[in-house]
Amino acid sequence: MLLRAIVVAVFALWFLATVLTQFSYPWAERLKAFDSCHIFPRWTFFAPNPGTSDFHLVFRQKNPLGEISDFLEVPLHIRGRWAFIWNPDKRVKKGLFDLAVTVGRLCATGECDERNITFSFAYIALLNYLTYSQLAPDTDAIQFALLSSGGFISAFEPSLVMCSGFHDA
Amino acid sequence: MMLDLSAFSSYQSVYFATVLLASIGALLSSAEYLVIRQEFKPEGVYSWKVMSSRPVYVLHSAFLRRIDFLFGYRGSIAVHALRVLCCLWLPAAIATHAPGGIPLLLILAISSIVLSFRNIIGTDGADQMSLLIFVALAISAPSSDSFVRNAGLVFIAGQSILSYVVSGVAKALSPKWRSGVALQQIVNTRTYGMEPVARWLTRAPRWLNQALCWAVIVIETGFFLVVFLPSPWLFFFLVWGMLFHVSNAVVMGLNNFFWSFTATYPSIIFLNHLIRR
Repeated sequence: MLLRAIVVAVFALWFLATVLTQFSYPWAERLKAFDSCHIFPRWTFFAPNPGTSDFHLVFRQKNPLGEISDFLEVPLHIRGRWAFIWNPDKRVKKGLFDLAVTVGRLCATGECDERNITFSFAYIALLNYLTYSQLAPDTDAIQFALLSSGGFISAFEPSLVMCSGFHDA
Repeated sequence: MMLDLSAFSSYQSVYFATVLLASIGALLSSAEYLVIRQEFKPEGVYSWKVMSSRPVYVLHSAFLRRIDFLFGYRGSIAVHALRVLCCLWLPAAIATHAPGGIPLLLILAISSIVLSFRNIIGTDGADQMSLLIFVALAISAPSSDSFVRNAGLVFIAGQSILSYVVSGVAKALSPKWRSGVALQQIVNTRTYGMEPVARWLTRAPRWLNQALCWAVIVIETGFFLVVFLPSPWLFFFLVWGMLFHVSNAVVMGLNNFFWSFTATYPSIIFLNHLIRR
């Protein structure tokens, strides 16, 4: 009987906590903040405000002579023919997309100044990825930017979300 | 016409079907991570050097320092490789009543939590549902008490139904979904869309876009009915769910949702039998 009570209590509390974290009230956010293992999912998929724009991650590099390259885009939107079954690239793109969304949100809040953004986890993670994975060997410094566009049939011109300064590579 | 879903009224068949579908999803997921394993190196997207710098107080605990070896490059690769082996072995172990099923389930449950803690980016609802399934089964399946084992399946069914209903209600509260523009705008993005479908929906009459959006809203919001309805209607919701996830996989590239969410369907049928018997 004790085992039954414990198991039912665990499942009931887990379910209740999941229900409570569906709301975006401050108390629900506080509960969510304790959820380091993400065991309380938020099930609101693409609602109430679905993402209707794309992020573009671009960077350029400065060589030892001080010459600056053109901006290059990190491909975030290419999808293979078999992606409906087998989609390993999604894991990379989703990671970068989540980082871009986080930086975009920080820029949009107005509560964060430039220093807050450059010290944020998402900004550092993007800089780390670009610095080590994308740059040519003779690069002295890197600058990156996030842009937003309106998708395949664009209703608006691409806009700049954020542009970093040059960082030593 | 009464469709025969009686096989899903026995715990063992529901348990096997759930494990089989969830294992296929987890196998694909871990195999995908193994293909992009270089991203777990310090210079990759999933660099632990960077992720461990996040401001989470628990990172400073002695326990986490002790299991830190699981989060680095080699540790992450080992965890995913172990999950692939477990996912291949577990359904076979259950089907043949071979020993080792419960330890494999525990490995999948614990590794799901470890990965969910580690990867604060890049995960999605499919990964979360997979975690819920493996952890719920790891808690309930080892018991010889049928009440405890059934509780695990009821929890999985409850979470699945909650996911659809919450998603439906959130869409019903959204002006974009209610007006019928949401679907077209989502599939118009390069991130989650597909150009031919976006162009087709853009050319389509407004009423068709509204009908598609409202179909998603109504069916998701009414998904809780699956536990009360007799088999043809229960079947309608579940077939709709499968087609919905197949279309999301094809159009949006969300391939893992099909496996994680259909893995909950046997538990939903089981709960339906419990309530309606």
